[in-house]
Amino acid sequence: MAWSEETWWTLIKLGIKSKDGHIYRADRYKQVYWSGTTPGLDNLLSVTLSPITHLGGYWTDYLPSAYNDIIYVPPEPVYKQDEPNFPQGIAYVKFIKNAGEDSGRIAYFNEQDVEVYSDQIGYNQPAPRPNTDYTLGTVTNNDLYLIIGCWQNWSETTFSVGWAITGSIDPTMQDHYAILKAWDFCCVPYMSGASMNLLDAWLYNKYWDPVGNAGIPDPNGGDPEGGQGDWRSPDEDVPMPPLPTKSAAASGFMRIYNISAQELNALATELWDPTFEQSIVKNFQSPFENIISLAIVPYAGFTGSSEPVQIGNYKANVVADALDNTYYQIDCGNIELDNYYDTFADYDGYTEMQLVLPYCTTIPISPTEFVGGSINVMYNFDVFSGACVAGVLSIRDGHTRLMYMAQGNIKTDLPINGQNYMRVYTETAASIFQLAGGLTAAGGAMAGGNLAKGIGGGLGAVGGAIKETANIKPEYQRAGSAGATHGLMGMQHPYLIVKRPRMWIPDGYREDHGYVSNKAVRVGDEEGYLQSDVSFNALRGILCTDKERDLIKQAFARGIYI
Amino acid sequence: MYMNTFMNSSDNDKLNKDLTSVESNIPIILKDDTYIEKPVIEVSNTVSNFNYCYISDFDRYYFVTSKGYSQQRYIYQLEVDPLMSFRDEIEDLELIANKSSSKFNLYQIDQDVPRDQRDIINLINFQNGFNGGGGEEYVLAVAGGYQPEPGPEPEPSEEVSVNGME
Repeated sequence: MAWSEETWWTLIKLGIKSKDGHIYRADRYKQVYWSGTTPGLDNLLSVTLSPITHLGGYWTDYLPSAYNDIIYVPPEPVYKQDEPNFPQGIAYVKFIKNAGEDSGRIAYFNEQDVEVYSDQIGYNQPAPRPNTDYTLGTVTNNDLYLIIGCWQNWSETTFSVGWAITGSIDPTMQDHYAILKAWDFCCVPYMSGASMNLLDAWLYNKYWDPVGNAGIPDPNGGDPEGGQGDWRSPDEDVPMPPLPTKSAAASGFMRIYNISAQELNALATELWDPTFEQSIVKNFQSPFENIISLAIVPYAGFTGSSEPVQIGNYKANVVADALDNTYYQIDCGNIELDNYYDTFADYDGYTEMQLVLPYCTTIPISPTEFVGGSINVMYNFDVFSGACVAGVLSIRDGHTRLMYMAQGNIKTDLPINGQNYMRVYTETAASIFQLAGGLTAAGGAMAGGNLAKGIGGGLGAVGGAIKETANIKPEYQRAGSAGATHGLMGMQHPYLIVKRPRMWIPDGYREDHGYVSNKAVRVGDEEGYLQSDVSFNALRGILCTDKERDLIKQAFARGIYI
Repeated sequence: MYMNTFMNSSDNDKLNKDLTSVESNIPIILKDDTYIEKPVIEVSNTVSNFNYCYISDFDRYYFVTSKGYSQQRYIYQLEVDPLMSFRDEIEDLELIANKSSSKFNLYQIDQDVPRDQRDIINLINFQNGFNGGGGEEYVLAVAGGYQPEPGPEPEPSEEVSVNGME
């Protein structure tokens, strides 16, 4: 189509990302490749994306250093105290473009309707227009689509979006946030050029493909995201279970002390004093029979009150903290797992992830369940029995989901007499055999699993081809089960091992080979490489011989260039 | 019957060929019985070099697959280019694209995308954990150990005579 008959629009999707009360700036943007001869289009793809840092009331624009598929991770979260998690109210776009360039138009789509803000912006301006604010309207949900159209070449242009948190328009742009989740560019040919109706209908039908160029709507309808689901199936949060409230410490039948090394030495000296037994008034033959256990635990955040150690009815001359509870929880923190390639290579079958859980085991986890969000590990444990449960949670799309659990033991028992020592030794020896044989430990900890098969047989679910890909490389089993003593000598905090494929895409690959599409297209509207298993019957409308029809079918099977 | 000759610089699988015209309206004769998909033609005059042609009577474009000379005539074996010959109808086709340069979904698995054997390995630590390695603590569990609150001092008792006897 002639350039003069068309207006090219760029659709930029903005989202809001909030996490734990903090608001993050853009951490990812992706440029959509578009080949063509339309002059304005190439330059529009050079739009400078401007993640914005909000620094206590002012915002600062800065430019990324490259445009093509970079992942930009902010060095620290951007937030302001006492602000709501999700800003509401009027959204603004700040627009800076070079002087002398032709005009354009800004519209926004808020999943309700399309509003055209201005007819022309930056039209024949002799100088750049910094701090020019265009009101986008009220943000009522999490996604905002910013539509920018240009008629001719635009060089580097900066778009920044923010919300007024004071509720009023501040001409100096103070107290504005820019909360950007991702910039997804999509270039759409605007067919009519006279109104927004076609674009409006196109957006409402959600033909916009967030990955790759959407082009014109699918004339045959259908969901470009595939399947027939409406993406509204019930989805609930599954957080880490709460700690039990009834512990051994509160039973009244025992006392549990967090005792220092010095106090423990003093207690041992006192108990072994030959004059000690003369003070015993209970029925037990030895004070040691009143000692249930002595252990080392890798935790120091106990709660309790200081008091003399009492063994049975004997009050020792040693003071220690008596615990009021034996159940504790450790939140090991979160790891952000953004897309690395933002393609299939980020997910199962290509990217592999293993999580090393101290005192439990190493487990394979599914990237599909975490990529795009964050992974959180929490431990619930009992310092009396030593039992621990590690929970692996996926925090994504506003939901927290407990995806994996592992069990183990954090307590290292210490013998207090000869008989007691034999029991401890036997348990330790058994734990060693478990490491060698890969059996489950006494506490139920899982042995390190076969990574490729550790995700519920997911490899089979995506087809044999993926299994072939995964089987190219041998599979290695990391650590075995970790009993408490071994855990004490091992890592004390979880860590994630991520193994990603190194994609090797030469220049021109997309033009020569294309990428997987599975979309309904009209041949004449495509550019570059197109490959299709078009049926013979679909070619019946072409007035050619059957032999020629077969040649056309073969050409499409090889792939043609348009 | 006439043909127009061209030099084709495009890939055979390109829909719209980039053609450079060489000569037009060259008289040709079909050699023996021939098929429209693979005609063999004879040209009596010397013609400039070409690798592509259009025969108006067939309304088709052809690749030159072979060239010969016999009895003072140039003989060309041609093979139809169905893409160029029916490009208008092909452009109107609506089909499902398996692969595309312009409309694709990168989240769909593409086994053809080359990869290097050197995987990228990253280890990422969580911020918090246990206190082993120097921060561990002793925990002592004992039976009993109940420590009642001390009660009030008992009142001193008075001597009581039994049966009036002291």
